[in-house]
Amino acid sequence: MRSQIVLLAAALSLGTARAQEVVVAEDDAPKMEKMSVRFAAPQRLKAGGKYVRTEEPGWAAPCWHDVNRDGKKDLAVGQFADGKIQICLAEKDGSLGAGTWLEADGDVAEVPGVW
Amino acid sequence: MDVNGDGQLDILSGSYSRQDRAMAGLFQILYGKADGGFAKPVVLNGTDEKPLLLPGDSEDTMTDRICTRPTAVDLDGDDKLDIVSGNFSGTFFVFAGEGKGRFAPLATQLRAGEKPLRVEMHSDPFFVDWDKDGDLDLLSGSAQGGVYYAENTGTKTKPEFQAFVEMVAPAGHHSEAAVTSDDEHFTAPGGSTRVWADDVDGDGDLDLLIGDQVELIHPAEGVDLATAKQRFTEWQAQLAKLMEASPWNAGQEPDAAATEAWQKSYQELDEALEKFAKRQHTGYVWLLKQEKLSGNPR
Repeated sequence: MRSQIVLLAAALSLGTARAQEVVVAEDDAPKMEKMSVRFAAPQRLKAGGKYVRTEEPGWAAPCWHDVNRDGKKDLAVGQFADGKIQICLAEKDGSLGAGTWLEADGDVAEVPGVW
Repeated sequence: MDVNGDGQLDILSGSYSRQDRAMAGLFQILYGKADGGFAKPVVLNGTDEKPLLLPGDSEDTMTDRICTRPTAVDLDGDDKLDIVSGNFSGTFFVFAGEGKGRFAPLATQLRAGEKPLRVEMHSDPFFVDWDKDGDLDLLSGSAQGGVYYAENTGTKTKPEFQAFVEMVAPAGHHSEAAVTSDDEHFTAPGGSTRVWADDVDGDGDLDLLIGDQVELIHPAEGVDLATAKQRFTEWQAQLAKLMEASPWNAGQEPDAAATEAWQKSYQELDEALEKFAKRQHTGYVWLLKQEKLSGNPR
């Protein structure tokens, strides 16, 4: 069956945001071979004892990097809402501490155009 | 990544679209400061002092220019960081680095042979030497979820990518939805995946960190869980019938009236769900530990 996906894309006209539907056929997806690699069952990451999650509407973009230069890699998670970035610093025991918003020049950092 | 080579960690971000002119995703950078903090984001310009933009200048190519998802990487081994960006369409473009955070204004498309490298939609480049042969291979998430791998069979200075193969199966756009009172039913990444690879568990093999987007459906206020589940089952059956009746299923471009009527029905059905359930979208981060690396993974 050929089916469609209705996606909301932000369209912009004279500086005023409006919703525009973009319909994309699912069978436009490239057909691919499967790769022979094995992974253990997925683990949903927790930080500060809670699942790491973004604000509505989602789109978590993870980055694994030593943000605070203490020799341990931390988790940074970008999100769609307001273009904010959550930082979960690695603790001494290997767990991740509760997320805090990345700041820029003293304010919560917000990347424009990621509303 | 230290984009401008000043010894400080910088953060490079894409964006959905600028808001003042024709749609196009800008690149934004938060430059790192000596005290370890970051400056507010600024638009990244090319060497022509104009904002870096993905190619395309018509309505037809709008989706090539929006929803940028960049990474900075030395793709051609010249010791200068290049920018590779994904987009809404699912393709990949390279802005050649000219050193110290400066980039050529015109991007070239990444290809596998004669064909553009492409995932379904929302390409999400991440480069790593996955097969340990000394050059950088390409991983990508996509709108339908999953993780895709394009092996670099060229060299460190002259990359040549093969077509994508599926590394992690996609959840799909219509991944299994359920009415629940919590979020414990998710067991694997959903759609709209964003990927990062590193040896997270320190066993010598690369693991995957995958961000996603999922929909939480909880009972609406005043509706008990059992009732919400029953009504959701009925609602899903109605949705399936509506999708079967889609005017696009005829195999040809539907006329405007049929399209409008179907979209109105879709919207009404979508709104009907709100009477017994409340929806919320969020994104989680998943760790997939690699169990075995068996030489060339293709």
